[in-house]
Amino acid sequence: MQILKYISISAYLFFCAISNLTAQQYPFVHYTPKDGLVNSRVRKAYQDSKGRMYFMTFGGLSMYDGARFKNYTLQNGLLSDLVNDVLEVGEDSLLVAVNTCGLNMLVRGQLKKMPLAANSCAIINQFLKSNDGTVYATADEGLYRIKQNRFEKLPAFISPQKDPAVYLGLIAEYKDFLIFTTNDLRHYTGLYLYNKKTNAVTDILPQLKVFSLKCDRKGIVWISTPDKMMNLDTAALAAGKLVLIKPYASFIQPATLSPGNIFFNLHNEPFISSGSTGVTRYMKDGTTLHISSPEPSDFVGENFFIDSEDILWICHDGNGVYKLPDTKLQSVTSFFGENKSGVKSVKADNPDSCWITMNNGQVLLHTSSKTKAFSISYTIHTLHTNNKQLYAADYHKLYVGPIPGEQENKIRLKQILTIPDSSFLGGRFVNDPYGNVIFFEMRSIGVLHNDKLLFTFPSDFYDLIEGMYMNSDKELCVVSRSLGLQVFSLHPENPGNYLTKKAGFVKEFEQASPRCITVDNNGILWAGTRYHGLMGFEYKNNQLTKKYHFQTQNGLTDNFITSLACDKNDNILIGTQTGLDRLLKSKDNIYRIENVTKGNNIFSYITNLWADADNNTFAFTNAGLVYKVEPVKTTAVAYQPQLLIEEIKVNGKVMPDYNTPLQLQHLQRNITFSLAAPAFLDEKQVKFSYLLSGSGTKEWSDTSVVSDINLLNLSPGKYILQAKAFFLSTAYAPSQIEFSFVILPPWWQTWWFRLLIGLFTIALLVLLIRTYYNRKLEKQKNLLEKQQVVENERTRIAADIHDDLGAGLSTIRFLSEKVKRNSFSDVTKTDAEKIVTNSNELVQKMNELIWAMNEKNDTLEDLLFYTRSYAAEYAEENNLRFNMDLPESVPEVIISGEVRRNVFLTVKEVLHNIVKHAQAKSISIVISINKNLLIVLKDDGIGFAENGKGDGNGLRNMQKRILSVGGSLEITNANGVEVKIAVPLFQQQRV
Amino acid sequence: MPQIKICIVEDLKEVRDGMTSLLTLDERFEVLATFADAEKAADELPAWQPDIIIMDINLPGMNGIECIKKVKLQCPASQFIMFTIYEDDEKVFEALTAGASGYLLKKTPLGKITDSLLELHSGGSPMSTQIARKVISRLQNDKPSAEIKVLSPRENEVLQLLAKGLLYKEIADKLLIATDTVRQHIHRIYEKLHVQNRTEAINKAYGRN
Repeated sequence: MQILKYISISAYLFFCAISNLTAQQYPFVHYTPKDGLVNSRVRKAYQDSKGRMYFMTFGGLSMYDGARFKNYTLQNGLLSDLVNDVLEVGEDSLLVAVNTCGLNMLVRGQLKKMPLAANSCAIINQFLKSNDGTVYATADEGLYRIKQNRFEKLPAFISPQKDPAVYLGLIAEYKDFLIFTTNDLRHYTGLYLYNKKTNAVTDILPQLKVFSLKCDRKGIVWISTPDKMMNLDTAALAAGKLVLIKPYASFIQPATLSPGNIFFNLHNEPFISSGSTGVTRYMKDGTTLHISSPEPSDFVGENFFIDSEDILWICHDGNGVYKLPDTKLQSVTSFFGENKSGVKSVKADNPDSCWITMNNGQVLLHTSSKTKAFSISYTIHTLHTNNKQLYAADYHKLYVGPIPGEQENKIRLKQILTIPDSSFLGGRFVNDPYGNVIFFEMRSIGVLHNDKLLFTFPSDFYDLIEGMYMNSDKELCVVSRSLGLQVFSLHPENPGNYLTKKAGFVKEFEQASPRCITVDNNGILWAGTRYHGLMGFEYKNNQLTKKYHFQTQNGLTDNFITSLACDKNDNILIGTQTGLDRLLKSKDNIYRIENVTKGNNIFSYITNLWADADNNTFAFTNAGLVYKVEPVKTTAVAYQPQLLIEEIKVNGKVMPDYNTPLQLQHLQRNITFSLAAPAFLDEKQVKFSYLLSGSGTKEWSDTSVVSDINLLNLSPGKYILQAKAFFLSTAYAPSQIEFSFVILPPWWQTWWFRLLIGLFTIALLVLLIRTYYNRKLEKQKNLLEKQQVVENERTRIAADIHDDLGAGLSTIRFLSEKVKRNSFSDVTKTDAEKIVTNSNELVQKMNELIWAMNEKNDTLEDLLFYTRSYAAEYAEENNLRFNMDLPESVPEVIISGEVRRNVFLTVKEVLHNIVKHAQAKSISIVISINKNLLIVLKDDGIGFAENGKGDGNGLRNMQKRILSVGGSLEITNANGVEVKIAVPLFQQQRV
Repeated sequence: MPQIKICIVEDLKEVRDGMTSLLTLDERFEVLATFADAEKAADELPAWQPDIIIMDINLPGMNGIECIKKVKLQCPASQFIMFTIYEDDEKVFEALTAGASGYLLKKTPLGKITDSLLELHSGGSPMSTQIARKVISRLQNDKPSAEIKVLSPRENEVLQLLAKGLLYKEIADKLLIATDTVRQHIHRIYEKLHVQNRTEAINKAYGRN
């Protein structure tokens, strides 16, 4: 919408001047680009369902969540700086209409360009989310429906020639009908009714100028025309007709003022801007409340907004945004009437009356209904009345006079007491139950009976009394800076001893130095202190018990309390040196601090407080200002702020989009969570606290206004961030949120990697072991194969010798037999016989050789039986008696062929020698087996001749044979020859 | 006394001729046929039905042991005696377990050859104690001990001594019997233990039919 700067509207805004309303001024909170607003020319405000505020300006879009402004301009991808409208279409997802072709979307705080169909180009001026969820939009080009990223132009024709309605502006809905207007380019002229079902314009008021078009919370359509506020008749609307009627709420009329914009608060109360004067609220009870414009000189009241907390936001084309959190606080400029001399002192301990002494000497008496000014003949600074008389004092003198009558405007006084070197005289007066008035000055407490000083009680020169009151036991309670509370019993029967000190309580005040007191309807003594805020004491059974204590950490604006008052409902007004708080008492006696001025950016030294009979409170500041605080409202706004995570930054970079639980890599260990809890009564008092479970911490962080949570150097692991928002100074319950995220371990620390490494190691080990054993087996196999080859070769040779030589020798033998038989020569016969014998011997020797070579005969048993067999046969052949003793069992011992052969041949040689040389008749062989094989051969012959005849050779041969197998041979003569052959058995087991 | 009918299977012509001429000279023997190889022998031996078949072990082609296995069924009355150069031969042992009744060494003096043949024909088993011990111990191992009970006490005694490696003569000396008696005992032991073999029994039955 190209703005034709309210030329036409301003004409109507001049009428409005309701002077009696200007007496009050509501304190607005002002937001400008200095606070973070994107641009000071603000057009409109909008609030999403999470409570975030959006400000559409001429220079971009601002989002304000209470913690921060987030701004969107051309630089961040906004298609145009001129923002026309914003509409929430889904959770954290908004359409942004800009004053150019195209649409932006704001999704989770990230600005995007909405992809549109090619022919979808329109300059949208306003969105309307229909009751059925469909989004309609008025554009310069006509009326549109937005469906799935497509602009669908609706046939809104304004003539039978099918001229389309163009340059459209405001839009509202009533059931099946859309009502829309033109924008400034058409001078707001023309109101159209469009039937959504039939897709046709059913009625037009072509000449009607419309400045505001809104549906209230009941669905009634409100229209502000140049001269009055009107409703559209619903029956006519249902029939497709536009009929203007008087607003159904008759209190709006007479609408003599020229209405501007209209908005409805949560209670469906209309707020109507009226020219430069401000906004008027038409309340349910029929009264009106005028909210003066924050900038009276050139208030451009077109757009204001009431949010879900009933906060009024005024958009100013030039000065930014004004916020009025509530209307309970206003500054009252008319309190002193025409007297501009300034306030000297205030005496306001009575709801019915408030005496104000002005600097020019005039005294003002305020009651809830009127203000009356009195002239006075003396300079005084304080006034007090009981039911009989009026007392006044300046610092050194005390006066008494009659209470002025209704018609009198002069106070007449006479001086009754002078204490020239005193001060603080008459700082406080208390009426006692016996008709006396008790006052104090710096050295004493005095009792006045009418105009006579009855009694004085000396007090500490250095102490300062800050408050006095009569308790329900008719005792005087005095609160002073140094002595705390002193309780005096009163003795009217003994005026000489009228005040008797009964008790004193100093330490209960914890050196906080009381500065002001008030006593509530339950007798609780509230003491405002210099240093430690507000303390509530109960005095009962001569005991003083501290029951309450509120300080800044509990939400108090300041710990230096300067003034206190209690209203009729026991709410305590707390004036501090920097502003006004209110201690609200709920029905169940729970107190809550409300910051009355702080939220409005007012920081004043409150010197006096007056709670009047209507429960309004007036706060007087040291600057002479008076603020009026409305009574506590019982109707609370049903709003609960939500705690939101507005942004997550990982290693300084914004996560544009994420899933929950958020998964991060191990290097993504620095995380910043930006929190917000949109609540604008006093967003500066929203405080945050968090707890990160998974980090080992069990304690919540200190509550703080800092809304960014910085988590640095997190180790991999699972985390849950819990955060809480506290809304001090409001009735909102704390809001809580949880956010889970995971920092994944680096791949070399994951369980699967460890498992893999484990498996790999095992596999490697197995492989190594297998390889080792395979090699060993291979070696053994090779060795065995080699042995096998050797063995096979030996066996083959043996077999060849056995078969071929054997066969040959047999043939020779039989041939020789034949020769012998057929020969007639003796020589030939003898030779043939020799051949037979020799070939037989050869066979025998070969037999022995083969026996030794044959691996099948490799046991000790084989050797022994073979030897036995040979020896027995040999002995028989040579007619010798033979005996051989073998052990009962022969152990299974393997004997190598070499040993077998050598042992056998040695035995054979011995037997041969016996037969040949010994002339023996019998041979015995004894075999014994232990570690060695021991063979003892014994004959009964002539014995062994040492000098032998060349047989040394045979003996040496035998020795050599036995030695070669590691054994020993011993020959002794003892009734024959005894030959002992010993061969170690077990060394023979060679592998 | 009828002549002992003999067939010879021997591949060496000189040995075969030598044996033939030796036996032909002796009236107690009649050489029915000689064969140079086992195949031919296996074919023709059943036709001859000799009393004794002298069988060489090492033959070209089929060896003597296999020949025994083939022929034994068809010549149930024939006794096989192996003709070998070396007595300490695994094959001798194999042949004995295959059904040969004894063996002859080729180096044996000719006179003793006829003795052995006669011994065989009269029910002995010509073999050295060394071999007999092996055969017996093998048979003992193969058969359950219960079957040893079929042996008579005397046969058992002989068996014990034989197992100790004693010569026939030694056994005869120890038992105060004749060497021939020892031989017959051994033959009976051998036969008894052999007969326990089911296959052998069946074979014998078959042969009778």
